[in-house]
Amino acid sequence: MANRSGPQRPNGTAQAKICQFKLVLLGESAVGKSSLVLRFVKGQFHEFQESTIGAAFLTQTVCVDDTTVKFEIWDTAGQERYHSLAPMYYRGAQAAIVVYDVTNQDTFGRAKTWVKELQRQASPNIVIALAGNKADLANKRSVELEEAQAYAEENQLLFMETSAKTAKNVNEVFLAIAKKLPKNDQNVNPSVPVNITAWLTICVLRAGHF
Amino acid sequence: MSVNGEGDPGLSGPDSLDLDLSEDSLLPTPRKTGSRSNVLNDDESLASEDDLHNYHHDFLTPGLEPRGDTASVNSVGSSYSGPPVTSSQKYNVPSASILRHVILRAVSSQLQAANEGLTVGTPSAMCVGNLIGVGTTHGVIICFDWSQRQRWKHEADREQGQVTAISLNPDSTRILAGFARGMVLMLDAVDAKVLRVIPTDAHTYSTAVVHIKFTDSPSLALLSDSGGSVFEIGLKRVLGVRSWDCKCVFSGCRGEVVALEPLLLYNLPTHPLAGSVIVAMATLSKMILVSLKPQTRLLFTQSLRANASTLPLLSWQFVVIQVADTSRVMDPVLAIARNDTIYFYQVSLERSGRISCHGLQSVSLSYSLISCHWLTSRTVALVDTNETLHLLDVRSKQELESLDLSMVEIVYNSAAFKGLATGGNVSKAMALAGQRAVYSSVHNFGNQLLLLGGKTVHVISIRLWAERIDSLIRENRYEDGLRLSMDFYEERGKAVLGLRGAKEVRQKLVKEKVVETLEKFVDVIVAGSMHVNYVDAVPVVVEHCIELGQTDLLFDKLWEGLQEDKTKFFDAVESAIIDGKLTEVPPEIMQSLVSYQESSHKWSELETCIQRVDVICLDLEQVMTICKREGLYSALISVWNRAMNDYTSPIHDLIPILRDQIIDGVVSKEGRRLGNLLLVYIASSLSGAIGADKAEFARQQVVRGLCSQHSQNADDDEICFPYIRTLLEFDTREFLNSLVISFSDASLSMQVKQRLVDIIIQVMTEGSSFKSNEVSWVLCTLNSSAVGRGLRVDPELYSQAVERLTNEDDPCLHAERQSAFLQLLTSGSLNDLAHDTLLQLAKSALFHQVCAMLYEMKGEYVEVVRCHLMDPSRRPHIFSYLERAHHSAQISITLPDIFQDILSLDPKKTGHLFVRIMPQNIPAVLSKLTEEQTYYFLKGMLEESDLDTEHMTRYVCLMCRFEPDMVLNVVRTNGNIELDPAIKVSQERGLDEVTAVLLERSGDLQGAFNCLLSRLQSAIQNGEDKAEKMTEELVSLAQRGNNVLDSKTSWLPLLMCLLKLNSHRLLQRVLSNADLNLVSELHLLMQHTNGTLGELRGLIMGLFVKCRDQRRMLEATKRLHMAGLHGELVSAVQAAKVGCRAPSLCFACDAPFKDKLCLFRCGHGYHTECIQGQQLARCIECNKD
Repeated sequence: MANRSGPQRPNGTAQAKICQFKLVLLGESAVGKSSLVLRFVKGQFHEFQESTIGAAFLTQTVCVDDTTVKFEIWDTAGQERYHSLAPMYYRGAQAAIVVYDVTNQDTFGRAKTWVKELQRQASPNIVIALAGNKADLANKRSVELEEAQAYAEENQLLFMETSAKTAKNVNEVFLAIAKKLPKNDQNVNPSVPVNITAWLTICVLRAGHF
Repeated sequence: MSVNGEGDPGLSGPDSLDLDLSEDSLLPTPRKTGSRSNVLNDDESLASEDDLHNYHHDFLTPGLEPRGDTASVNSVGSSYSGPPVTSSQKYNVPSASILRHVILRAVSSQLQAANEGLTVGTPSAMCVGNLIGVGTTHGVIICFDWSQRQRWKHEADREQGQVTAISLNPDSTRILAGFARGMVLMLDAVDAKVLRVIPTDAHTYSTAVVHIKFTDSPSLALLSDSGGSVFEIGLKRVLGVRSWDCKCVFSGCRGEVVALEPLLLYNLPTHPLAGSVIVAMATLSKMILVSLKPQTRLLFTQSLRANASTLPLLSWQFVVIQVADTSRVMDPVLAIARNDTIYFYQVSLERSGRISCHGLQSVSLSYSLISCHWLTSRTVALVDTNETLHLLDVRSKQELESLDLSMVEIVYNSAAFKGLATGGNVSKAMALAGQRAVYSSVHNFGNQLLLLGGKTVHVISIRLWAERIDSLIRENRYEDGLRLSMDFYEERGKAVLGLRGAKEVRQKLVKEKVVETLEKFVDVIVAGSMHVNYVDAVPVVVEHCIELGQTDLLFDKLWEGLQEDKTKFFDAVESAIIDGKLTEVPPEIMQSLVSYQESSHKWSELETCIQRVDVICLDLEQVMTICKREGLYSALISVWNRAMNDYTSPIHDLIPILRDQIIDGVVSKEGRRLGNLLLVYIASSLSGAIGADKAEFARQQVVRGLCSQHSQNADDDEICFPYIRTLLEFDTREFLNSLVISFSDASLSMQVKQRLVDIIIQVMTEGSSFKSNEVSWVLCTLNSSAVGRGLRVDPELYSQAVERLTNEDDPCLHAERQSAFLQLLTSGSLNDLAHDTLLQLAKSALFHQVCAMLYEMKGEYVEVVRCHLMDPSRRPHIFSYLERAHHSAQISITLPDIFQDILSLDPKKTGHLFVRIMPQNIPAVLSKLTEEQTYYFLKGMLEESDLDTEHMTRYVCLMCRFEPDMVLNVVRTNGNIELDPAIKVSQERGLDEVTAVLLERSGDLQGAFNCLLSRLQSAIQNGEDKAEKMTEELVSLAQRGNNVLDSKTSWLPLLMCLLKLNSHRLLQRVLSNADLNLVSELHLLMQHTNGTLGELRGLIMGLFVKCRDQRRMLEATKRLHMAGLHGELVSAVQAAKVGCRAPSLCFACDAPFKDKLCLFRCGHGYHTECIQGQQLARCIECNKD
């Protein structure tokens, strides 16, 4: 894994750059991947989220400093039968969020496997974030914060405990990824006009939203 | 933008000339001097098109002073600081055109200004090089440089008349000018210093100079005069003294030369012809090609006959010509035009050193030409007599564009041709042809055509390819621009100028331009410009983006730019996907496309798109949800297979859906579609057609899925093998068929086949849901198909199947069961079972066909026939069967029980049969029949063959009984009837007509007549309407028996009978029989009736009419006869009038004639004595009359 903690490049050269990144969500089924994305993209939460078939595609744009980052999010299905799909999506991805359920130790184990697989198979520059979801159910917790944090540090992962239900840390995790992603030329699509109004720009920092 | 200018470094000099140029490429324009740039070839230096507008403006308001703001643009790199471009007003000329028309305004206005002084006169001749030289009617020569500035003005002796020809040497340092009175001046182009004066007597005295031309050689110029002679002017400089000499090359007395064009090679020094001077000349009847250097030689002549008022036109051009092998040569091509035809000749140097000239092609036009000049190596500019310019593509002979030049007011050079200044001492032909000469006022220079008008100088040039596109875009005609650029891209474009280099380079260049055009188009669409029809534009743009691989443009710029209505975009992308042109679509756009298709219910398109597009582009969640909801099963299968490597889901998920669609054994329409799809899927995966490189994996998965004992999440009471069961229930036959097809694939292992077969048999036999005939059908298919070879099937299954089939309680129809049994039997599945057992079973189940087949196998044909007779469905066909059957089966019909059986079925057909297959048994058989049976039997026999007299008589007798109506026909058509018994029977039966026929045949005509008459009488009495027919029969009978019958007993009773009937019509019929002597009958009639004359009136009137008719007939016949006689007489008289030669000697005795001779028509004559005693009518010699 490349060293991602190096000093960030100053990217104030262009007034408004648009970077497009492919992001993939991985994790055991029913850990809340779809809920996390839904919260991030639409600001919604459904108590009974249908399980995803195959993979779902969503986009969301965030502003980081003077750069507009457009996420193309592939929300993969966690069910065993769809696991063969995952490589297709993480192969070209610049970022991945591996999600586990803080109330379920097994999902954390599964998350570790995903991280390993990503480190082995995905692009070497991929930015990986570990998200412990369902943080609102702290009373049923079975994965300790420290344990996960230690693991994340060891593997140089971004780490946050999130809750799609309360929106805790949801935007923050995406924003953290956006910040960490290299926004130099190779990701800037030169043919895209620098026309921010054309984009449905949504500043993620919607404080106080829910 | 400069094409041939210095700005184009690679091609600025002749040295860099690339002989590997494409055919479309152009030669560099002739230029050697160090001059910075070239007036005419540098677009920037020309007046812009705006000037044309100004010109129009001026033109429409004559009398106005020419505007002062003369536009004159300095060329690239030039330090010229003259009047700057001032044209600010924009004017849209229809510039889709290939041609650009501009006016050299500065030159024109200076010419006009000069003319006002009355000392200069109007322009009369022009030459073009790096300078423009213009000669005038007053013998003045004005020279303009590249910036259209007047360089100098030379006023020659006015006595010499107007300037009729003027020429610049290749490097534009010298000018030669010819005058109307014959003088030639050579001037220094820099300062107008007169270098040489060639007096009028150097060439034919007192003739005008018509052409004057420099050649490649600086010491050689050419001149032609109005006398039609051509002179070679040698220009020498000895010890600093310039001298000249003049030599006649071609004398005008051998044909007057009117056109002269030397081939200039100075810009192609590497060409094998370089160094030689070749000149094309044309008289009014001939084109002559001569070489002057290295030695004078005639190279080629060609007759050029055409209308005497037209001039021959000559123009040279270098063209790259593909020769037989892949090499290419660049050779000069001469265009020779006269009247309405252009011929092209290639001039080349052969290996032997000989210069050869051969024709390439010719073009016929619909107009008469006055000028013909090459513009590019593929296009010529033609001016016709109506002063219209035509741009012609030489290869395709297609006119690309035409332009009206009437506003130019082209200067005609007829003065020189008519010899106006020399007292008109020219030939009539010359004067007539020169009427429309424009040799000195139309010149080509590079890709431009310069025209000298009365007041102006015009330039017509071909636009550069890119400029043509740009001009379309400027006019907002994006679609046209795009089309044109695609034409260039695909090398379809015509008159392409400025595109050069190797093919790849050109392609790259054009592609850049196309993409640029496309980008501009997209920009305009995105900007929502008024000039673009959005609905038409979007599909065009999308199509081109895809074709050129500009998906970024398509999916970023256009997609983001389209604000509201993206329908057109979606439609275009959708059709591109369906056509297979596009497989990679950004997921975001694909998602929107799918939503759009979903909202507009374009399900089939959606399904196709999903199958075609790369699976990574699809939002699987969205797609799968829609597919499941809308039953787009093909798309589902495609996604499962491609995205997830999942080959079992089609079975696990879709077969249960299919099962739900089968209700009480009836499959819904939706279910049928799904079922068929599944069958195809299973068959193709089993035969390895699905999954490409994972075919083996796919096959294993499918087999595993199919063979699974229970479905996922099955209830406890699920019957095993639910998938195969459902498919069998869906359509047993099709399922089996698709399996059989895939079984033929050798790579499918025997274990798999066996496993599938075992399961199918198990499913089919154990449950009661399958009908017995289906079960046996399955067994049969498995056994009969070659596929089944090597598969084990328990023999017990067959006997079970047979038992089920023969069981009366089975729900299946009897016929279905029987046919199933038969199939089993024919397929050979039952070979192991004992015949007798089968027979027993078949008999008990009343399967007569099965029995018949079994008996046939055993060879017991009699039994076979019995079985057929027992089978109600076969019974009617027994006869045709027997005809074709085995001999021992045929024998069986003599058996009493079978015979009776078939007789009772159809005695007639039995008769047939006997005649055909065993005629020898007929007498024996006949004795056993009842009368009715006999009748029909005989009838059948009769249809097959003729009967002998005995049978016939019997048949007729029987017929009188059974089918009395038919007897008459039979009796009439058959002669072999014994008359006595037949008459007896028919009399008994009261068949009068039959009796009459038979009686007539026996010779008793009177009896027959009486018989019929009595019948007629009774018919009349009973008021039957058959009387007419009967009368006719009677009349014909009476006529037949005219000789035998006594008229008292025949005609008389008939007439009396008819009179009673009082039918005038019937009477008339009787009377119209011509051969009746009715007068005697009338007498008889009168005697035997006591009625009044009135009663007989009709009869008598009829007699009169008949008498009149007969008289007329007699007269006509007589006339004909007389006419015939007359004709014969006439021909006899004519023949007699024909004279004939009388011989001097008798042909009989060879003695001369003395007094009497007998002459024949054939010319033979004899002494009367010699032929006396012989036949006098014919000639002895030749036996003619």
